[in-house]
Amino acid sequence: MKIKDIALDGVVRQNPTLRLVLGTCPTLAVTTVAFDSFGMGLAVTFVLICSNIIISLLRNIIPDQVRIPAFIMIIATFVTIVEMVIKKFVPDLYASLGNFLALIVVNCIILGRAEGFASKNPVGYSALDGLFMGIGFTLALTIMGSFREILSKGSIFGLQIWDASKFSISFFGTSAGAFLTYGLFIAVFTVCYNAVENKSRHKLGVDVSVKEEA
Amino acid sequence: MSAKQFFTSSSFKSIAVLLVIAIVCVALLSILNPLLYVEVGGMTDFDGIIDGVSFAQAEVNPEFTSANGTLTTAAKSTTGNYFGYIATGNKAGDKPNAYTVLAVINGDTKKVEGVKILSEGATSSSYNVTEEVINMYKEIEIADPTAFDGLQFGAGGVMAGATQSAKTFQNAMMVIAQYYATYELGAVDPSLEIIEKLNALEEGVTYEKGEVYDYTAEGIEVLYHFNSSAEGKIAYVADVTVTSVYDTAGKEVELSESKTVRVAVVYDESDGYEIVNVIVLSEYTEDTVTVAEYVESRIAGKSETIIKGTTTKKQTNTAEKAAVRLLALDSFEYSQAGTGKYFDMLATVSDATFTQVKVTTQSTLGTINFVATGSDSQHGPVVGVIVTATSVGANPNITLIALVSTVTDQVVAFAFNGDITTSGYSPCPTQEQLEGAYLNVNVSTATAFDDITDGIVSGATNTSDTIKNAFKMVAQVYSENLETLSLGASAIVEEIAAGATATELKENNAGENAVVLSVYANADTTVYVVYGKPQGIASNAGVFAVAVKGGKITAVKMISDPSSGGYALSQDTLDKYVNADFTESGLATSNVQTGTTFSSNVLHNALLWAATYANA
Repeated sequence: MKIKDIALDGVVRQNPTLRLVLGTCPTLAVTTVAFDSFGMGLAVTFVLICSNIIISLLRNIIPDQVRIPAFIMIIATFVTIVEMVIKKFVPDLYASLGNFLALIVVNCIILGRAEGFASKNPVGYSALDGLFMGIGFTLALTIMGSFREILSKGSIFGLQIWDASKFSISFFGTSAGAFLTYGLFIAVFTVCYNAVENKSRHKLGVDVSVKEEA
Repeated sequence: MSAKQFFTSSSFKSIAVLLVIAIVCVALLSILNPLLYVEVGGMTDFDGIIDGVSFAQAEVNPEFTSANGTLTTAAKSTTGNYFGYIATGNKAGDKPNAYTVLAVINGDTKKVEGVKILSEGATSSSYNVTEEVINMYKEIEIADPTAFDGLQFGAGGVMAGATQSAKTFQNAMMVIAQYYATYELGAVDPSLEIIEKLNALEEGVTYEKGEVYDYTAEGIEVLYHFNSSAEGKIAYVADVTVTSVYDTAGKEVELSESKTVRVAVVYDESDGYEIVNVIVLSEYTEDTVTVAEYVESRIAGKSETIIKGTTTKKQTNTAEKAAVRLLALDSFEYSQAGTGKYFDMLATVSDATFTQVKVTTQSTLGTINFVATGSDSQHGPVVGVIVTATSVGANPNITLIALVSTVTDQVVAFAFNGDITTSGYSPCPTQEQLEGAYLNVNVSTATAFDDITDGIVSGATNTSDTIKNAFKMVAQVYSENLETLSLGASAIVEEIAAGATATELKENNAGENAVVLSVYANADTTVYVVYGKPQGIASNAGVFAVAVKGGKITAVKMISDPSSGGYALSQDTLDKYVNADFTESGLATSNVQTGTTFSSNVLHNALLWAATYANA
């Protein structure tokens, strides 16, 4: 297993937001502004790295029958820590993210990587997997958040680019706008990913008409 | 199962592992808790406001209410004497967001020392409350709940260019001042006690605090203004500085030391302009004649003219009575200050001297601010109507100043208060578009503007519709008060030239002494409606209708009498012009009615000018 593969999987090939469509709840809810999106991304990344490390360390100790409750306890501990840290040091972000911070516990990405990777791989690789999955999630959320903030408020990360009272599409600040944005981003990402994938296969001389195995 | 089997079974292992994980997790969180845990109540917001001072949450008194917003958090410093509050102010004007403000008050100086805006109410950074404005609040000692009431900073309002943001912020600060003064200083809003006394004066009439008129007078400082539930009545409280009194012989006696007396006046702003009641709020020391008796015998029920001319000095032998007299004499001016801004607005559309007219018309489209009549040098008798139409969309409300000719019942001029093309307003129809749509429209019916579409501009629909509503309000006011406002010229024209319809006016319709307001014609008769400008003591607007057929005058009727005080021109005098040639030479001789020289001159000037105009 190469680090490069882990990195590419996390950021592109198995991007949890745009490819695997996991963690939809915070994706739709907190991407109204770029700052909140970035904050949520960092919080999830922290929990992913820490939980992956611990779960990987305990993978041969935790019995199979209780692995899910054990994973959840470990994940919940780190979510609590990150919640306390954000509340103390970045109270504005804490107020913005609200209940979605606590809901990281049941975020499919974290439980999914714990179950699918950390419980089966060494600590180092598990930590890297957590890191790059987190980066992929953060990137997707931040770009979506920036897109929605620019169109609905005329600003990015709070910096006013133009006067929103003169031009803004407030629709993108709404829930419906979130769904539309998410769908658009998935579509664009998929098209680009497929194009790049086909091109690289063409280079390798692989028949691009052959469908990938599921 | 044996004990050994149980302790080696997978079930036990599972439980044990879970327990261990749980204990480790809890232990980890327990270690981190003192380092990271933040108290409920958001006390971190107060950190750093005052260096080295931290705050503990205090209980907010549940009985506290404020008309300016809500107080959500109270805090007391753990060291020093500081009080912290978080309040959300009510949105002012069309602001979509409220301000949530944190302020820390120094208990020793009773002044705000730190302010932090937790939630920005402005829609754009250009409307944010500035540091300069915030610092102004820090200069004021909070002695009572009204410490931040009625503050005006900078030219043009609370904060020039961002008035609504500043007022929304001010609301939040007022809530904080009210709470601090009430519960920490034990101070009570003095106006509440005054309202109680005012409400006790007349059964069924109640008072509530309003905005003080923009008024200054030497020795008089107006503190509060109260609007009442009775039409036309207001009350206001002023500190009056008395430097002299009058002894029983009426001789002025200088006081060794000036005295400031607080007086409340109830004033009727309707036609009579009367003092209704007076209350001395300062301690009253004279024990022979009570203030109430003094008021009843000398001031109550008297008109402004009588108060100015005949109020005796003999009963002002105490500072309190002298203060009451001074304030009573000043009341008319104070009352007029409330309407001063409207007279200023009317001056932008007319050179007439206006007199306010009371109308009871109500409109669902907005507020009818002011109605007044006067004589304009170009349009003759007019009525000025000022209305504020509630905004249709996101743009602000629009205040329209309209001038309606009471002769033709048409809108002859209009303007808007303030520039409605600046940012904050949606794009606006041009002046040409508006004049084409709304000028010279007859407003004798309330539906005069209902079908107007010319003034509705694509891309400026909200502003266009709001403007249209403003004009509809003007039509409503005029049509509902047609009997009192309109001179009924159309009926008189119909009487002397049946079926005559309006024709276009020539450009040079205004002369030195008269103005041709409108011209009507049927098959054989032309009627000129002409306004004769005041002459001498004939100071009112004289408007006449003269019918001309075949070059000769066939009828002269008076639409509006120029005379004042019972010297009206008779129909006989007007009839003396019948059969005269409608030329300058034919009208060379004026018909002067005995005792009404000036009015007769007004009539003659009007007819002469009409002839000049017609033959030009």
